[in-house]
Amino acid sequence: MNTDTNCKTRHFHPIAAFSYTAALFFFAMFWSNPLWLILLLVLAAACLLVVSDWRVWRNALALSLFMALVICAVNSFFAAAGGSTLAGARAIPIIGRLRICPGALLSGLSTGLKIPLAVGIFILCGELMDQDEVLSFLSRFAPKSSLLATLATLMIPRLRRELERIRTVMSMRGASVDDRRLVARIKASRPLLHVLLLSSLDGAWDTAASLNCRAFGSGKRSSYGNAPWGARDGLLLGGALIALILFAIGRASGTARTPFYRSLDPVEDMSGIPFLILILSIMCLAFCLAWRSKR
Amino acid sequence: MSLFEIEQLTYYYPETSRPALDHIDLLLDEGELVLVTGPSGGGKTTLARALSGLVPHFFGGRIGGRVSYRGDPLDRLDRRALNAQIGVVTQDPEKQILMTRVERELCFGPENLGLPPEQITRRVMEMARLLGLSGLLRRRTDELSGGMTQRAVLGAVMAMGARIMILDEPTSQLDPAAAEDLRAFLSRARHELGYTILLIEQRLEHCLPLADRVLFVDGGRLKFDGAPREFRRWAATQAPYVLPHAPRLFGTGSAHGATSRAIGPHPAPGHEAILHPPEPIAELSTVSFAYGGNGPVLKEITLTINRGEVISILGPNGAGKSTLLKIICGLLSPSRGTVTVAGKKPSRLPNREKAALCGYLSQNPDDFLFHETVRDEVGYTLRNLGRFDEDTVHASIARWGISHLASRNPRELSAGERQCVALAAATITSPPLLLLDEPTRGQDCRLNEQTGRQLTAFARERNAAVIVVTQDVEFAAAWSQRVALLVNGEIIEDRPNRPTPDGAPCDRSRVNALFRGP
Repeated sequence: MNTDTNCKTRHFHPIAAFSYTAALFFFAMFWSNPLWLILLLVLAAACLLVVSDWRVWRNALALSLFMALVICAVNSFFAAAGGSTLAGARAIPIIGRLRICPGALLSGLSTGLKIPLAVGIFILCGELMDQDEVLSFLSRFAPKSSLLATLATLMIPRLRRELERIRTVMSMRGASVDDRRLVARIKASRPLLHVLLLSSLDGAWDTAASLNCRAFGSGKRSSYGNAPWGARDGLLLGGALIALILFAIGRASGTARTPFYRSLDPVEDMSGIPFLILILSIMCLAFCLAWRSKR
Repeated sequence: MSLFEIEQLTYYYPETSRPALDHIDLLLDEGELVLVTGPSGGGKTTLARALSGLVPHFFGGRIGGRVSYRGDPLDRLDRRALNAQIGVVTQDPEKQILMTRVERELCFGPENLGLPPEQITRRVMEMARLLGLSGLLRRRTDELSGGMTQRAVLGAVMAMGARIMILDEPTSQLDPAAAEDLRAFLSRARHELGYTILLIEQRLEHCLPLADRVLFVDGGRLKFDGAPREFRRWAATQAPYVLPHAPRLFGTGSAHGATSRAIGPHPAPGHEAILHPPEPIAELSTVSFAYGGNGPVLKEITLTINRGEVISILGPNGAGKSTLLKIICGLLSPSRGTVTVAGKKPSRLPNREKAALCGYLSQNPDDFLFHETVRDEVGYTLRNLGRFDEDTVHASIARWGISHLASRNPRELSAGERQCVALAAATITSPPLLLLDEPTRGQDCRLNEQTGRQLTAFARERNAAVIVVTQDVEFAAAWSQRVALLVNGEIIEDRPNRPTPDGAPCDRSRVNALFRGP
């Protein structure tokens, strides 16, 4: 199957995709109950799996889960909040006696979960939109910034390739770029960076000449809009707005609460659960639409 | 009225005392395909920049004389109007790409001109169809092949409505098949679509038949302006090195006393038989290689390289030629099989020993250049090896004919001269094995011949082996003792480069066909 066609069908209009992920981000930041956060994380992961590849998220997820664990551990050891104690240790000078309390553990879990969730939502935002369409869309309002972003997008892989090439050349000129000693490696990297800088400056000159020849900055621009607004974009935008409105209504009426600290509230107060499930179901729209496109 | 009228045009780049263009007088008419040629650094690119309004407007410097476009001074024309009529394409397509997808690349120029969206759509579709990019509109520009990238750039310029195309060595970075396709397109654009084309090229073998008119620029001066037939006669006596082999024959004729050497580079010095028994310097035994978890780039390669020989490795883009060079010099370790150079496994050696054992030239000479002077640049490897010697540096610089540039900043030199600096730097340690990746890219015929001659001499005098990875079939035919064809990671042919009955040392049509693929 043509991958270009795939890209076209799985992407949403920038406005729809941005609105949806903004709503998701809002819930991730506003909700503090770990159970609801886990559900949001599952939703974001499912969407990512449908619209993109697991590998896109793999490294970022590993790093953010590690950070979440660190937060959990630090919070558990040093915030001795809560009445009950799960485990204790001897007193440490200055810090005092270490106590692991369920409240602190859950608080750490809640804060920690928000990290992989936020990272996932940012990645999802990028994957739901076509990068080029976003830049094209933004170029209507800020052509120079949009161009800068486009050139940066092109420049990073180009620089990586150049760096690899220069490293090869320098290795074969006897520079110790792979030396095990850090000092020798840093010393040998100087010419490498020097060449990279000079080549980048040359490249910048060529790019500027090319921009000049393509009449950039010669006057008012027009825009070739190639991001059509489809029914699925309307559905996604509508869904995100409805979810936000429902949440606002729920908050005002006191039903859509997700508290947990010191008492895991959903177990005691079930009244808000259907409301929150409704919101989550609406937020599943992106998953359903992307799944349908993929099929 | 002529399209361009140039009178006494003189131009100096900023902070230079030598004119890049020196009292040029020229008239260019509409609908012509004008071929501009001349030695590297002669002023061809500057002439193109003057015609497109880039000098002095963009590059600065001092200008004298007059350049008119349709009767009006070029410097008084509105930039937008100028860009809409004159399109410029330079030799490195990658550096001209400004957008992430082909479709955006095509519409970027028209957007800058403020054209209405429906007109942009029409132009994008027209250019995509014309240049065979219709199926690639959604493709990322950094995933395109060199030929397709150059087409995308050409389409982007043409979509602006330009009827005059200035192309500065557009085929120099392309493989033979892509270059041939581009030339065929230019011929069609000239004859069927009525474009005026100014084509700058250093290698004339394929371009001369396309041209209506030839300009020869050397030392900033216009030394010849006339029809291709007259150019052949003129160049046969005044600048024979620029002529491809067949025009050398027909241009001089017997009346001009053409020598057998002038007919072509055969038999070149490289074709002389190696009298002593072959002594292997590098041996590859069933070498396979794959990057990461991807498919194999090299498959079961067995190859022996002997001292004193120049071997050319030909093959299409992506065949694995550059990877093979990196495997031989130890920059990459084979996934399977063994590589030995002078009895050692190069991948296990530290960089200093690798540098002493193998000289390496990458595709882009700029990867070498970061010193203030050519002298320092060439001596850098010797310093790293603790063997610095001023006389050796001078000898290497002299060998490559760049003694007069020894105190110049290498980054300020022309592409061909930079390539010579890189070659001098790569050969300074007199390694027993020299590995060159596209050494003739960006070189004019004179430098090309000099490179071939020097490599042959290097191999013979130092009893070294030279491996040349190239897409320049003419160069391989002229200067190699052996030619190997690498296709899809496999060496499908490896044989001595002996003349065939038609006089060609290797079957060029077959090799050219390989570049085109199945």
